[in-house]
Amino acid sequence: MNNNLNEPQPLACDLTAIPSSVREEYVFTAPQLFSAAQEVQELSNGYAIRFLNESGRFMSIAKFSENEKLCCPFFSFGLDIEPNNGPIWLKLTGGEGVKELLQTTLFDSIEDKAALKQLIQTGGDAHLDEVIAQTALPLLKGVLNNASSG
Amino acid sequence: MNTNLIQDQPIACVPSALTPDQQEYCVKEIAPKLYKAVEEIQELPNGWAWRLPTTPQMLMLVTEDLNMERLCCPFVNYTLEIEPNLGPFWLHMTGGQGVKEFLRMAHEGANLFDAQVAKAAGFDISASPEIDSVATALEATNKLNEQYARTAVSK
Repeated sequence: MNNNLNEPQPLACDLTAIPSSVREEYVFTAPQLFSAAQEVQELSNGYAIRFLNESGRFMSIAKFSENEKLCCPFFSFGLDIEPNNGPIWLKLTGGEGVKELLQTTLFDSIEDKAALKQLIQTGGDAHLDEVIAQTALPLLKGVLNNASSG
Repeated sequence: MNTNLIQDQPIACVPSALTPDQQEYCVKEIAPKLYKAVEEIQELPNGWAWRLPTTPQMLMLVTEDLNMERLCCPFVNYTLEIEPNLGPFWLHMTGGQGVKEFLRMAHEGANLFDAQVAKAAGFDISASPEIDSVATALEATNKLNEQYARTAVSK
């Protein structure tokens, strides 16, 4: 038991904060959402991800944010609908360590299963651990080629 | 981060961009719950921001509203900010020249906000109509568009 309250705790995604009824669906749909990303811009404290303003897209981004704010409450979210049917931007930002966490989950392949379990906590749900290991990360590796500095 | 290059879009609300079912849903289900939930209205240099409570239903309510607003008022830049650690939601509505004034008229043109919230932001909604049907909403929208057009012409 770690009783040292002054020791900084690593940021981690706690999937158990998402209602169990939608947890697995969320793990499946988040990568689907990010596979539709058109561009990633690096921000000083996070990343901005651009999507086409197509039917249902804003709703799916909002649903992602609704769950993500539960499991990663340290994120700040910005959903920006540009005028005249312009694109939608999802901005994920935060304080110290958040950009690094985003870098890992969005772009890096995590081969070490123990490290992955520490990063995305499932409360010991082995099935969910396996689903995450197979489908969830890295969310934006395919879009990385389009990334540019903001 | 505005990458939209289309300029000089007319500033007017176009309710016909929504289907009759969407209009009904917006007037009966979305607007009354959303506007009454606004806890604070802040003036921005180029628009307005609403502070909304962090209730489980609020994000989906705002999302449903914006899904329709972006069709009938496409000239507005909508930004929803979700603060960390279950902080409040902020809905920013901004735009180019004229958009802030149009939105001010829209805010005052219907009796939808909590009276104290509206008053604190400098809006007088006491004489504005209640919006309780699609017909009253369309009437208020026509008045709003005419009012803004007159103002824009006189400038």
